[in-house]
Amino acid sequence: MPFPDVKLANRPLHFIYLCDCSGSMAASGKMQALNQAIRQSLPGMAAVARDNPEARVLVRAVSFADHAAWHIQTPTPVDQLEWRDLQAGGITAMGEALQLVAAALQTPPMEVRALPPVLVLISDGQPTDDFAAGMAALLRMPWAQKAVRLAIALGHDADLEVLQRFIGSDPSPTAGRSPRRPLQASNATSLAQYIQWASTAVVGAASMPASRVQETPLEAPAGNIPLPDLPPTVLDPTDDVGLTVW
Amino acid sequence: MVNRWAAPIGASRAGAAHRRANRPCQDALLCRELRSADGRPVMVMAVADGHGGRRYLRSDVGSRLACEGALAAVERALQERPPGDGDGGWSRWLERELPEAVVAGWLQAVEADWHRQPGEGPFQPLLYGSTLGLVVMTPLWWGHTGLGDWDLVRVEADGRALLVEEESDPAAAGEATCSLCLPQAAALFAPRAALHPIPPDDDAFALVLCTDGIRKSCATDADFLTLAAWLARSGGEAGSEGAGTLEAALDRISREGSGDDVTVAIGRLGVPGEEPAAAGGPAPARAQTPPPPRPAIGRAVAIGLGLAAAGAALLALVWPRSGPPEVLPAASPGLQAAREEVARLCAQPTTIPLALRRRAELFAALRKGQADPTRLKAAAAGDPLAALIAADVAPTAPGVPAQTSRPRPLQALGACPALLAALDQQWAAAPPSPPPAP
Repeated sequence: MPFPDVKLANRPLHFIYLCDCSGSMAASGKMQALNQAIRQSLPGMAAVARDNPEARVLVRAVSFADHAAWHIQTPTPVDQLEWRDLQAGGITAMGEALQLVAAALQTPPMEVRALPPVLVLISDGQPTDDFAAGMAALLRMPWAQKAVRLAIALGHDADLEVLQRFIGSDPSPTAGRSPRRPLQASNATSLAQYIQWASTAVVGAASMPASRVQETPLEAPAGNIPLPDLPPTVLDPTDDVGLTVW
Repeated sequence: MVNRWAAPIGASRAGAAHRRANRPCQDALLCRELRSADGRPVMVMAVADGHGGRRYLRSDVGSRLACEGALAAVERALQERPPGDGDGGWSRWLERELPEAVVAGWLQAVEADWHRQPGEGPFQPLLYGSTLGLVVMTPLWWGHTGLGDWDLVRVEADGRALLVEEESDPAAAGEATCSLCLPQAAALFAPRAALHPIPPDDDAFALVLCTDGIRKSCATDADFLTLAAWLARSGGEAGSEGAGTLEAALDRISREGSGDDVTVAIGRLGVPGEEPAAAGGPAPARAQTPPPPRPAIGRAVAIGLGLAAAGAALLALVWPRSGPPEVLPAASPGLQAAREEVARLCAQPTTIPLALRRRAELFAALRKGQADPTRLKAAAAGDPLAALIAADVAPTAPGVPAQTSRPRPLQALGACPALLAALDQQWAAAPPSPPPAP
């Protein structure tokens, strides 16, 4: 019998950047470094997507300053993505950005059979709106609870406590595994390394279908996707790398 | 008593992603014909899916031992008492006694494996974590039990496919699932267990038991049901040579789909497709029209479709308007998709509660005002079920109980009583609307 007329399909993997575009990002070339880091990471991300054909990597981006808005609203296959530069200016409506992402993580439009999404929050400052309300809205979404949530702090003025709340607490720190803490980028080089890591190693890990035990109060959770090791040059994310610029 | 069950067949294949990463197949499969104490043939099929995360280093062994242990436990029970007619306590056996025996045996087996080949660190059942789906087929009844994200489909002789069982715990979603390695594993079988008596005049049908890699490879559940019907048919046609056919199909499913390991087991009562009523071969599940063999259902659908034709005016009031023309044309793709979805659900009313439970998040979001019904209805062509749910949302004021009798727009689309009742149940289970802001 011939194979039936059914649609087999790989599983969507949604990757969403949440980028701080407040006025302070204009200082010391942070905005330029972020644009450059994301743009330079795209070929590597596309290569990882090609190597994992069972996942369909779809990228979106939210920018937040005075208000939050979709910078890339349509989930875009990474090999079709052209990064338009973000512009700095305004305050830090991080809570509104979380609300925006929360709305996008509803099912539908999120597909029931999607892989856990990857959310990357990048900020150099403190939220100026209701971060707690945004975080609560986000965590009400089951897809946000299942997501791999990463945060990159730019410079020493970033609110690490807020970024840690976005990631969630480190449930089971294990020797040899990357800790779940905000990644602290103190210059353009380390920012580029972290963006590269998130867009390649993490995407690769999230692309592999790997079932796991449903967590219970009796079992320490291990996170949704086992995070791969950080780049060798920045094994300890709290260490400064090179000259502190930001 | 003539046992009309054919010997079950199946196949298990390493997924495309696993092969590329040089990882073993972590699925397992076992199909066997057993004999009860009074000599009756009893067919058993088991599938298991070892967890893929790197914490579960020996899950390939865990899944194999799960299948072996399950069959051994069934065999022991059959030696103690024959599977007579009536329930005779077999429901309880599927829900409690068999799970306790399976879990206890699995824990012993995996620990023995660890001691035979010790690894680093202490022994933990977690290292062997696996799901288990089990189907027992006797001359008088068939039943299923297990835990984890396996799926079970019943395929009728005319090709209609019905999702009988799936993991519906909302906490076990994404890549998370229930597992034999959990402390409360034996208690997790009961919600997945059921016994189905076989009437003497029952038509031929097939049961398709599969690990999650197959369903996750399909773009929609309709595709999954069509594929299950085809697997039942093609596996049956190939007979004892079916494994090769199935293996080739499974390789393709994984390669073009999820990349996960894929396993299927097929049990057949009679031979689907060869009954007189099915002359001309089975219809694809996706393309089916309301089937005639079930009079009550067929009548409901017929009445519903009649109402749909007569209720265009009502429909225009409740369905979204996407700009001019003011009234959505009856031939719009979204409306057509919604009407087909109603017909599909009402043709298989026992699938309705499961289908709606899978959208529990959407019910909650609509109730809380976090989802936009207008947008969902406008997107009916892409997700007709979501549009139907959105069209049924009751306009309730905070603090006011939901109306028990209210206008039901879906009646204009031919919604059957089973669909409306299941919607009511799901709305009742959804969290209440938030209180008004002070």
